[in-house]
Amino acid sequence: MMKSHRTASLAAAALALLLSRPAAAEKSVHIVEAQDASFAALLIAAHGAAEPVLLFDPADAEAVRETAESISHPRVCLVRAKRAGTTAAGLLAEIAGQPCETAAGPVELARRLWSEPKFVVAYRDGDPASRVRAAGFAAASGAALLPMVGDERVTAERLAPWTPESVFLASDDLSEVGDKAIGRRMVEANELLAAFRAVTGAAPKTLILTNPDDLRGMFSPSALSTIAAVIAAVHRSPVFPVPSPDPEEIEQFANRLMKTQDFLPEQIVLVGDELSMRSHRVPDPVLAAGGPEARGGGTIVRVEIFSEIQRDRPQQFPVGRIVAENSVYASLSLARGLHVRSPMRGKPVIFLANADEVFALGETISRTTVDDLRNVGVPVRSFYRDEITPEISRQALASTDLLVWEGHPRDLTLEESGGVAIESAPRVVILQGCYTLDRNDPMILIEKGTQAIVATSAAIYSAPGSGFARALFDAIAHDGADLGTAVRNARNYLLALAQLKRERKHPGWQKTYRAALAFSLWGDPTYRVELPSGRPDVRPITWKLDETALTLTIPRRRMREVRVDGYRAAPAPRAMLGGVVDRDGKGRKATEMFGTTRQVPPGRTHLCAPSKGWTVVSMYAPATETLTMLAMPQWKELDSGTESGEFRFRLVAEADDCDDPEP
Amino acid sequence: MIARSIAVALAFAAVAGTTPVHGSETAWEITIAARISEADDKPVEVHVALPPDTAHQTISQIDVIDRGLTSDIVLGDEPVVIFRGRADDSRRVSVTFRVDRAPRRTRLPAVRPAVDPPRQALDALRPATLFPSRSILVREFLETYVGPELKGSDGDMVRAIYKAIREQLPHSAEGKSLPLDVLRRRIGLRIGRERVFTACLRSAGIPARFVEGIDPASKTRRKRVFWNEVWANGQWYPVSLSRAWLGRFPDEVVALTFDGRQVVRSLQAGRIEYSVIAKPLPTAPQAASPDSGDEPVDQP
Repeated sequence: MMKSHRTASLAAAALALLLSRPAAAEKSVHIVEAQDASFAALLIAAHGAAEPVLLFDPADAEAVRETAESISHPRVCLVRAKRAGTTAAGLLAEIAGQPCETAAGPVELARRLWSEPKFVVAYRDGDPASRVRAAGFAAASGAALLPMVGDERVTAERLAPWTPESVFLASDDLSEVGDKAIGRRMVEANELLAAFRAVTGAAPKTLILTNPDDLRGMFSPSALSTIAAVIAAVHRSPVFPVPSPDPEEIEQFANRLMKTQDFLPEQIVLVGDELSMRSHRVPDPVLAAGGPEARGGGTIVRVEIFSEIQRDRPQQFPVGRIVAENSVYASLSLARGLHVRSPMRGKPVIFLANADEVFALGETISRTTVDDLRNVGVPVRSFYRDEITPEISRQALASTDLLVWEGHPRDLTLEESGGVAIESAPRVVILQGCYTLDRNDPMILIEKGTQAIVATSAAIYSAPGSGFARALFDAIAHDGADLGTAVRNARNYLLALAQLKRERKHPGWQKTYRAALAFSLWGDPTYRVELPSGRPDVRPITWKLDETALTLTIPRRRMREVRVDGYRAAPAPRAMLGGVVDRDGKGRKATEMFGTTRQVPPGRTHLCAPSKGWTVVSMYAPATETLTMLAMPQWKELDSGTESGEFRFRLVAEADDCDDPEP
Repeated sequence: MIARSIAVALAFAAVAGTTPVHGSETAWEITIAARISEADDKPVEVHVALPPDTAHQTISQIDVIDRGLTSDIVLGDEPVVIFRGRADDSRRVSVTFRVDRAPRRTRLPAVRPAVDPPRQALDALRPATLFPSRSILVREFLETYVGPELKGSDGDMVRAIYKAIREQLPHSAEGKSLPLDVLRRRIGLRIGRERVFTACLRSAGIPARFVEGIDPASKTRRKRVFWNEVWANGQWYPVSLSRAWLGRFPDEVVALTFDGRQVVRSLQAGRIEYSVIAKPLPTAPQAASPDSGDEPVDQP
C-alpha cells in the first residue's frame, strides 16, 4: 500500500468528498460535448455501462435530445468552465433541463469522479492513444483515471489525496526518475494485459481494438475510439489501440498478443469505421477466375479483419465492428442498447424477399428459412415480389425488431426523392443483397436505433446469399448463438460450400466463395436476438458429438415443399441449402446438405465420410478448436429410399486417417 | 392531331415566384418529342418536365401536341406536362417551348461546409439513393483524396472535391452511371461522375443539387447535360464536373430538372423514348441581369 500523502489541504479534501459520486447515487444520463474527448473519456470510464454517457454536438442536438428523453433517468450535463456560456453549453442545458455542471479541467473532474480509488491509471491527456488505453482499462476494471496535463509526471504529490494500492502509467513519459518514480508501465499491449490480469484477477474475454487516430481527419472524423471504453465496460475487457489502420498490421498485432500472452478471447470487437481500421481488400474471386464483372462494378471484396476466409481458412473468432457516423451517434446507439433495452417479444420477424422477381432460387431458399422459423414457433411475416412496396417496407421497419431484406438492394430508410423516411428502426437488420454495407442505409439505421446489421461488401448471387441467411437463422434459432457466432458460422458454411462445389467441380464455385468473403457484422458480436421458440412441428435433424465422432440423425419427415418458378425445395428442418440443385422431370430441386460448427476434442481436426455416397468437407480452426463441416449425401448411391437415418462421421487427426479402419 | 398553344410566361413566373427574364443573350425553341409504345390499350400517363423559371431563364409559348391523349400543364416548382389516356398503338407527343436565357457570370467563391443553412439549402444536404452522401465509400473517397488536398490550403472544399473526382474518377464510355458503381469502378459516365460530385458535396456538408439540363448546341439525341448547383453566400452557383465548368457557365444551357427527376417518365403502361430538338431564336433586347456586374470568371 502506498503511503498516504498529507499535504493536501483539508478544504480540498472536503470539496473532493462533497463532489464525489455517492456509492448508491441515483442513476443519471450524463451529457458532455463530443469535441471534448478528454472529459468524455473520464465520464465514460467512471460510469462505464452502468449509466449512459451521451456525447453532444450542436449539429446532432435533436438526436441527443430524443435519446436522452427515451431514458428515464434524470439528465445532467457537464462542460469545461471556459465553455460555459457558449451556444453549445446553452443547448446542452436545454436538453438536460438544468444548468450544466462545470469543471476547470480534467484533473478536477477526475477528483470528483473517484474519491478513494484502489487502483489508478495515469495517462497523458493530450495523447489520444494513452487516453484510450487508460479509459478502456479504467472502464473495464473499475480503476480511477488520473490525467496528466502538459509535461507533468506522476508523483506522490500529484496523486494526493488518493492513496491507491497500485498506479499504472499508460504513457511512456509519465514516470519520474530515481527515488520518486511511482507506478507500473502499462503502455505495450502485453503490459496492458498483465495489468488487467493483476487488477481483476481474470483474463479478458473479449479482444477490443480501436484506432485513436480516428480523432483526426478532414471530413467529420468518426472519433469512435472515444466510446471504446463503453465497450470495455460492457465486456469487462481492456481496449488495445492498434498500430495503424492496415488490416495485416492489426492482425499481426493481435496475433502476437494472443500468442505471447496466452490470451484466447471469445470474440473480437473492432471499434472504428473503415477508415480507421480497414478491411482486407481482396480481388473479386469471380472476376479473377475469368467470370463476369460484378453488377455494380466491384473488382475487390472488402473482407472483415480476422476473417481468415480470404486465406481459404475458416473464421476462428466471432467478430463485430462498432460503427456509426460519428462518436455522437455511437454513444446514442450504445446508450439505447444498454439503457432502453426492451425484450424482442411479440413482434414478428419480417422477411422481404425478391422484390425484383428475378431470384427464383434465392426466394425458394428464403421461403424454406421462413418455414423453418415457423416450425419452431417463431412468429414471422414474409413478403415476396410485388407484395413488397415502399409502404410495406416502411411499415416493416416500424413494426419489427428483426428485419431481413433479400434481393437487389434498396435504400429502405429513404424517401423516393431523398431524405430520411423513418423515425425508428429495427434492432437487428439483415441486408442480404449486393454491396449493402456501401449504401446510405447502414448509417441511417444505426442513427435510428438499429443495434446490429449483417450486410455485404460485394455483389452476392441469390442462392449463396439466401443460403447464408438460412445458416444464420439456424445458428440463432436452433443453437441460441449470439450474432457474432451466427455470422461466423454462416460465413464458414459458405466457405465449406464453396470448397464442396470446388471438389465436385461445380462451375462458378467462386460465386459462393465471394459471398463467404463479403458478409460482415456491424454491431456487438455478443448481441443476442431473442426469438421465442417452442417444440418443433417437424422434427429437425440433430448432431451428437462424442470423443471420436459426430453423429447426424436425419428424420424421415420433411417440411412442406416450396415451389418458386422452376425451383422447389422440401428440406428437413436445419438442413442447409445453397445453390446446389438436382434436375429432374419436375424442374430443379434444391439439394439438402448437412452442416454444423462444433468445438471438438483436441487433436481431432478432420471428419470422415460415414460411407461412400457422401461428400464431406471439414475445416478446422486451431485456436478455437472448432470444426466446421458440411456433408452432402447422394441418396441414390446410399440406397436410402427414405432419405433418412443415423450417420456417423468419424473424427480423426488427419485426412489420411479416414482410410484406416476404426479401432 | 390536337395542338395547344399557351403563352404562359407571366402566369408561370407568378406561380414559380420568380421574375421573368426581360433581356436575354440567347433564346431557343425547344421541343421534347416522346414516343409512347407497347401500351396495349392500357392506361398511360406520361410526364414531360418543363424548365422552371429562374433568375436566369424564362419559358414561354408552350405548345403541346397530344395526339388523342389529354394533356395538362402543371406549373409550380417542378413544372410538367402530363399526358393521359389509352394508346393501342405507338403515339408521338411533344412539348415545344421558348426559353430565354440570361447570362450567368458568377465567380464561385471558396466554399466551406454550410453553417446553419436555410431551409431551401437543407434539402440539398439530404442523402438520396442517387446521391449516397451517407455511404462509407463516399466518406472514404473524401478522406483519402480530398483531405490531403485541403491540408494547408484555404479550405475551398468545392474545388478540392472537384479536382479529386476529375483526377481519380475519369470519364469513360465503359463507366457507370450510379455513384457507388463509379466509386467502385474508378471510372464513370458523365452523369455518374456528376452524381458522385453531388454525393461528395453533401457528405462534406455543402448543400448541392443535381441539375439535368438541355444543351441546345449539343448534337446528341437528348442533348442531356448535367451539373451541380452549390449553395454559398445565399445563392446557388453552377458547377459542372462532367463538363469542366467551374466558375464559367454557358449562357445557352437550360436547366430542366433537379435531383434526379426524369425529364420524361411513364407512370403507367407503355415504353417511352424521347428526343430533344433545339432551334435558335432572335433574342429580346439586352437588359441587366442580377449577376452581370460580376468580374470575369476563373477557369478550371
